[in-house]
Amino acid sequence: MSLPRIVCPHNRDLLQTFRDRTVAVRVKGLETAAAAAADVWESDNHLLCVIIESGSPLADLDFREEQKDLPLALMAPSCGKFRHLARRLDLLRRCNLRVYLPGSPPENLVSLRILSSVGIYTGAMIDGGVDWDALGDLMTYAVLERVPHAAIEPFAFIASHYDPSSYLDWGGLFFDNPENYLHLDEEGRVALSAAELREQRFVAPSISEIAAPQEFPAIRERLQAWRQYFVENHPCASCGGWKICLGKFAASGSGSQGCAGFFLEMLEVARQFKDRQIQAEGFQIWQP
Amino acid sequence: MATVIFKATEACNARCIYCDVVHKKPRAPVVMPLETLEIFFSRINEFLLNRPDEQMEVIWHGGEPLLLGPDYFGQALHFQEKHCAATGSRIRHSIQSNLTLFSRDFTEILKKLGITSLGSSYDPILNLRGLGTKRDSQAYNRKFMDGIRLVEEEGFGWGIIYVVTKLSLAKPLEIFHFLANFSPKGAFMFNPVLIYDNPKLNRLKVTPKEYADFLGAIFPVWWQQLEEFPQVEPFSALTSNLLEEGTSLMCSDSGACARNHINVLPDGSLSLCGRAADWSLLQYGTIFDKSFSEVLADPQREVLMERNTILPETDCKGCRFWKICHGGCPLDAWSGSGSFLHKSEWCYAKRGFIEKYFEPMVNPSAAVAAVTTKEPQHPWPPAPPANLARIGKRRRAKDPEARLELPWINPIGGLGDTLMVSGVLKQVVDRNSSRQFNLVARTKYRPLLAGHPAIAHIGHPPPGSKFVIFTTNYWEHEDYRQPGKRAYQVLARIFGLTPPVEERLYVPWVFRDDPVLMGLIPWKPRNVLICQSSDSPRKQMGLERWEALVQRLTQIGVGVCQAGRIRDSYVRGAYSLMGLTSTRQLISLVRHFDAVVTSDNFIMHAAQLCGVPAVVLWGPTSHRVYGYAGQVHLQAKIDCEYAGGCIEGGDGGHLYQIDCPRGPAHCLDTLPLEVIFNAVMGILKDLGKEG
Repeated sequence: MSLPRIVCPHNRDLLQTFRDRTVAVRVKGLETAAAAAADVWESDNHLLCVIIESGSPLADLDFREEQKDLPLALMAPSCGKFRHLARRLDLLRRCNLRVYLPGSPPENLVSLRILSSVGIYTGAMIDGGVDWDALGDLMTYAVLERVPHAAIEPFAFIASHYDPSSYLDWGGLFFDNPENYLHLDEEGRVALSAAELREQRFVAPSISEIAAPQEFPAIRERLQAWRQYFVENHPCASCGGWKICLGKFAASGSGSQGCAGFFLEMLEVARQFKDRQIQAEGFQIWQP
Repeated sequence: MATVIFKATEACNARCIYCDVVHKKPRAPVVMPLETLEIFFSRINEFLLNRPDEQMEVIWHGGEPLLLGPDYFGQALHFQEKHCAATGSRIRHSIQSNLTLFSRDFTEILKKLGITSLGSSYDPILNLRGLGTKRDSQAYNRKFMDGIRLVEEEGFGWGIIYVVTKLSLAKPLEIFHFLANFSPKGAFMFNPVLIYDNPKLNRLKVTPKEYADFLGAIFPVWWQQLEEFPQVEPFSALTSNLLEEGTSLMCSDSGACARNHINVLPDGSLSLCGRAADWSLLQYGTIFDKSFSEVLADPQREVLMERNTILPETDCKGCRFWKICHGGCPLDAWSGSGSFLHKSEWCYAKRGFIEKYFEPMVNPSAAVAAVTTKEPQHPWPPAPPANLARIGKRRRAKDPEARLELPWINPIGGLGDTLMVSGVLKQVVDRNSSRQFNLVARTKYRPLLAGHPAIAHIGHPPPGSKFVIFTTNYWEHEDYRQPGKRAYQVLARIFGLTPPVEERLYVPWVFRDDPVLMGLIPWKPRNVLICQSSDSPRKQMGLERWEALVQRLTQIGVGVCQAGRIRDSYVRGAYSLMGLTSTRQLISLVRHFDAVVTSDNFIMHAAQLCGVPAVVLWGPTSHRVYGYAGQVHLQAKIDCEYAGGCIEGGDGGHLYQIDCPRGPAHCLDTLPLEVIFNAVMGILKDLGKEG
């Protein structure tokens, strides 16, 4: 297991406390993204991306030409008015940018589709309250639509990485997998996920305590936590969609009418995607 | 290969409810003494020296073999190296353990013995397997999962045996998915529980038919996504044996146990197998006075050999499955008939499963021939199935192109419409088994149609490709505008049948009761299921009127349950099942009610499917179009500008989801309550006469 990447707030002092790590640095606004990136580089760490936790819709953000090469993960509550966004589309398409929107309200699912269709890479942050049917439609579009469009995560990742003989955890796409990402607060305390960071549930006082993540008990236990579903014979353990869900929505209790139906459909679409790839491999057009 | 089932201990840390070993008094000694262990390996050497081409498999069994501890296995290796210097390379070790005692201390020695994979068993249903005399299944499950985790970390493979009991029958797919999810790279096997002489355990016993049906509920799912699932027995072996002329037979089916099986107990006593030892049958003396060659030549084995020549002329005469069964386990035959010279009492489990579930799925045309031909004309092996070309070495070949060329069905409409479509498709495939369709995947319809014999694939049509598509929107077809129209008949014509056809409904799965749900309902001597809701508010009778009906019924002691979705309006006084049932559970549940009172909705169709009498309340739609003969149809008089029903045809589509503006004068609310009540009572009284 390689060292997990670090997700931390933009804090120069904090960044100086470790080196040679890959860092996703969190900022509250687009305007501080460049400074945050510069501070990561200065700290002898590697920049994965700048996570912008914006309270404003995407359309209201003032992207500038000089930001186009920064790796940006923009987490916005919504897309905003498309007529505002349209003016910046050309720049946004050239940006090294992935836009994350919450899966609910349902309008966001429409926005994700629109953004994808105009070539902007996106991610749907799904929780148990999402409209699973509408999400299924978005997923089908993301994976099977032949008209060029940018990837929508996690669907593109699941479709291209699904292997029936193993589990697929896509939490890392959203910085939520302690095997790949550890979250730090301003004081450098370590949490295993963004949610646990918000709840101040820390597993170590500093990242230096975690020299070998595979040996660190809390990480080790978390990576094996899925087994508890089987010990308890939780309904998720018997769900046909388990291998690509791993009980992520167990708490929502949406059951077979919700997440289970969606993930079964996702599996079917992943199969079809794979079939299509196999077909494409065998197809060659004549060469002049 | 000769096989020794080696029980160096019969002690066990668990008390699985159906285990014959732990329920007997342990035979002394509990652990095989080291002196006996040494003799065991010298006997192996003696046997292999006499048979230079032979190999021997030693299956460490029990009891729980890990109770022996790693040092004991070390001693075994020591004795093997000491006595089998020239023959050790022909000894294979394997182990069957509950894994609750597995620790890293076992890793080195098990690997030195050449063990790379561990066999185990598990049951997610509580209180069947458990640790200690109290059978603590939660502790067992935790320790088992810890064991599996360690086994994986130490680089071993593993597989699971799942024992099918009565408690399993209600949830075959749940159990299947549990095991498949848990061991995506592994393998698992279903075995029926074997209970012979313990009446207390009859509640767990399954019949051969129940076992076949259990497998039959799972097989379509496994078969349709072969590439997705691990190796699952008996499916994998049957696929190999029936379609690829393989010879992968378990001991019970091989007809060869007499030639190669020996069971060794801790005290050195010898018998045919573990079950023979448990029942004190086919005992061959002890390891101290008999060589393995002598044991395999014991005259008691002759009757088992004769079985292979007698059964094909008697019980198994003409059976086309002889070569993959050989009459089944002789011990089963003995327990059923008192003689080894009969076929196993589990014959139907295999034959029934193959004929009822396996063949119709892998080769529908061959299956029809097989079922209609009582004495099979074709000896083994059966003719290759017509679609064998689609079957790969062990897995069905990917042929997405051919599959996608089939016509697609685009399902539209409610779940009731889907039941009609399913019934029509069944008639289509019954008449011409080569007619198959793809189904456009939509979340709502999958639970009803998955596994349907007419549906080859559920997915999405490739964009831009040319394909034939059937849309089930019968209400937009020309026929539907004709006088005397019947929705079912229009659908039949859409799929190429010539009306009139019999209006049969169908679901491609076995009804299964959910024990939790069944236990939840406060059943009364007479029970009525009501369903007030419909996709269209215009097809619903007012809530107050439903509540008045429920009050009348409950006052006279009739149990009333309400089915529906979680968002539907609750009818006070009814026991609400709204949102608690999946589509399949709801249909299965309908069977248990004495009567159904419903709007024109899915439940009306489900009642017909299940043969449950129904009172159906009709307003803007007509029972002449949708209703079934045998149901009680109460058609409200329409007294508004839409004489033909406001949502029927024409411009009615836009009104479908809008409330009727007439309020209390809404046609359905004019149905006299007394008439509805009397109709329900008429059904219940009729049942009383019958019962």
